[in-house]
Amino acid sequence: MKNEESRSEENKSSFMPLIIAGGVALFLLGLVIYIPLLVAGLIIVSVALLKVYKDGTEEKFAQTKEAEEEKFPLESVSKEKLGLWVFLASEILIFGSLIIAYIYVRVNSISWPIATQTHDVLLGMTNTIILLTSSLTMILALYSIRAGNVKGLKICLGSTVALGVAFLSIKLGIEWPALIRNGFTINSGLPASSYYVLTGLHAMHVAVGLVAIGYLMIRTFNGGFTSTKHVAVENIGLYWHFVDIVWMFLFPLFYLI
Amino acid sequence: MYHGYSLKEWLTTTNHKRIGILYIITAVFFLIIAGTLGMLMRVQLAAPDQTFLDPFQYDQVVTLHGLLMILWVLTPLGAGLANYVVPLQIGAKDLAFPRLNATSYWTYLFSGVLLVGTVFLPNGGPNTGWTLYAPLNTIQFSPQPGATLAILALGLLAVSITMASINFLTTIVKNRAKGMTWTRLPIFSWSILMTMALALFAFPPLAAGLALLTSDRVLGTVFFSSTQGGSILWDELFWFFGHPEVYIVVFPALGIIAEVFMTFAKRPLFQRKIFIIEFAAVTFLSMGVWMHHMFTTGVNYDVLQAFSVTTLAISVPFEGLVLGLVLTLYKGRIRLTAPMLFCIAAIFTVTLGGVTGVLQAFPTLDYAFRGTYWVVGHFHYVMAGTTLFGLIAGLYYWWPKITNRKYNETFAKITFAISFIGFNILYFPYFFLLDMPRRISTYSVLSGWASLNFDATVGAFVFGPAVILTILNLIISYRKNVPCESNPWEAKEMEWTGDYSGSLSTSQIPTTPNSPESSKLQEDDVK
Amino acid sequence: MAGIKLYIGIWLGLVIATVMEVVVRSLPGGASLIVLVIGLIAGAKAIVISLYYQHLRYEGIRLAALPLAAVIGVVFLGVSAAFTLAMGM
Repeated sequence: MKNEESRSEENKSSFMPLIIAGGVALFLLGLVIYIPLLVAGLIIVSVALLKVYKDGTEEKFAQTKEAEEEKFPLESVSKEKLGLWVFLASEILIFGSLIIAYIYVRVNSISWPIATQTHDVLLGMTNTIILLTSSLTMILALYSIRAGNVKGLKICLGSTVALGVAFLSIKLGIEWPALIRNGFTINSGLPASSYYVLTGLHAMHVAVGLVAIGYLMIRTFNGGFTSTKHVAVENIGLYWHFVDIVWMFLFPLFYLI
Repeated sequence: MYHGYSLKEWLTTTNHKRIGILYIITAVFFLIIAGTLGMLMRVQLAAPDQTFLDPFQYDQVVTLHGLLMILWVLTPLGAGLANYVVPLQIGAKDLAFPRLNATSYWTYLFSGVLLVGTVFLPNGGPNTGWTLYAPLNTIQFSPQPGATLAILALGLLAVSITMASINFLTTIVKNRAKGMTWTRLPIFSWSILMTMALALFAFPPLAAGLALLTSDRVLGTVFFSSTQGGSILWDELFWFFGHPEVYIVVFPALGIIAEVFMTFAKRPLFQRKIFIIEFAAVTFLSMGVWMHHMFTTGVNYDVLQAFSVTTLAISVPFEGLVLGLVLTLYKGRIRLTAPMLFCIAAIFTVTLGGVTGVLQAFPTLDYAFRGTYWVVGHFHYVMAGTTLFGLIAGLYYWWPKITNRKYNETFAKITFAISFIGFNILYFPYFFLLDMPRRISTYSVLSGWASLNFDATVGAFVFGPAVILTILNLIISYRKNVPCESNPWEAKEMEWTGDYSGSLSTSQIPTTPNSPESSKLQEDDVK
Repeated sequence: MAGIKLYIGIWLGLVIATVMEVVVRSLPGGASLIVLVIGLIAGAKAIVISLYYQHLRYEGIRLAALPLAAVIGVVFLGVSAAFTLAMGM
């Protein structure tokens, strides 16, 4: 059996898939039966992700150029970019379904609190602009590295992280505590539940994006990106813009109408 | 040493062949668990007023049997064969994202462990039925932590399958070898492309519903226990997933049947281009029929009309597929090997399953059928019949490719006969139990259902062991038989011949696989 | 690939559109009309980000077909769900 594998034998084996999957399962189990397991699961996944980070920055699993291939109809799209867009399609469907569920319960409700009286609209608007600006800095990061400007890349990536952290800080540190003080808690009713669930899931996506951009920064400081090699910058950028787009809808849905 | 590799190599592999084998072994393992649960149900229902399982236990058995079979057995068995075969068929070294592939597998395994583990929690596992309807799925009506864990396990599986769909879609679009144009793509790979495209669209709404349900159960929100959301909201999200899911389950089997028919009738697929177009039509339409699962919920009349039309519409291209498969056999030189027998049986079951299904497309009839054993008979014919038979045929068909050995053909034919007979004894009575509600744990002797139920249980004790014997045949043949030639079926498809550029025309039978011409390009490859 | 000026110009447009959404909210007028206008502005912002920041304008319709199909799927779910709203249920 082994001699047949010479076709695909480059050493790509790794314990990380098993460990990450096990860590996530442990996390979920802990959520239901025993919180320490949840913490253990989180730690395992975090450590495993650090190892994946390290493999990524060392480009241990970097793909060698494939031989001549059939690519119609997406010849000019790299497989990483295609993979990311397929992933984004599934994300569109998840957030879309959640937004529909929100609209559904809202239309079915006899009364619903007035958005502009529940939330600080100007703060929400400011936060929206902060997230928009982080999209700008992210695209400028790609622009920089395309031109070979590594310093520009660092500045733009750093700005994106800073703006993203600001967005989360305002949301979790100012907005949510104020709402909770007013009795607008997650189980105080459907209006609050839908707000927290949707913006909460969005915030988780922002956090994951920040972790990914942090990875980009580490790789940048290790000199991993050049004017011709920066696929990860572009693709993580695509994810970041998607997260921004979702907020373009969540902001009016919860703060304005 | 396992199959030539160490344990560590199995645990760390990112290779599509080994991951495919892991998927298949794990799916068979869950098949045995879920099958045993099915046997328990049949024992409980064999006679009236039995107390072998109490109602709460019975509900858990029903739920786990359904969830495991659909999501942890049939879908992954297809994914496992796809993992092994698709890269070989398209001439790729591996899937596009090998580590992601491994992560998909381990996530699948651990999610199944969590699900089965729910029975060990206080008050056991989920008791809601595999459809997890609201408000039974809320903390008020199923308070046991096992139900919450089951929901999380299902969410984890959704993540696993989404990762797999990203991988397969990217691979089939981007990793084809030179000369492997879309028109030349083998039919099994086409079926996997459709399956994964459907999975990409179907699983996110399920994940959304599960997220809201988890929030209800853990954080105390009321999405599914309020009247504003409630059972209809759950139905929307679940069935938008649930209907495409049953096509996700059956598509790989249809692809396998096409491959097996072509090889063992020595014929090309009947009207290949039309077949693929019909396949795409079924894929597309399958996203538009789901509210036929909600006909009796009291929804708007417009819904009944619209989705009745779409459900009837989808039967047209689907029957076209079945007809195309059958016509592939016309004037063929048929060899009745075990995979061929299972595929012929699968055509029989899909016909019966399809007819009993299309009758439910009429809301008036659905009011009578819904929630009865008619429905249970229908979906077991297409799932335990067509899908499982098709997947078993795939295992037998590609067994020489995966293990380099033949299985015992005579024993396989015998177990096929026993399986087929047992299957029909088990499920055919269900159509006559069309007034018996499903998911009830027992029934009165006055109902008159006792003799048919007893017959079905007899069938279960024929079918179940036959499946076990099938698995044993494969395992024993692997351990004992001598290696066979590399293309024992004289198949012409790419995974056997290695001919991705099509320099050997489809009507030629290669005398040796991997002939020297197989790297030449033909003029009509320009696309 | 577009230039810096275009990116900054788009950012400026997005900021202005965001402010406009808040302004429209406080205008007098029917609730449905306000919701419609705000919805259109939000949709326009999303499309602009996807066309220019995500480069879909330059990648072509083939790649854009993928997220577009997802959006159509969501719209279909929404329209069908609308039919089951509590109208006489």
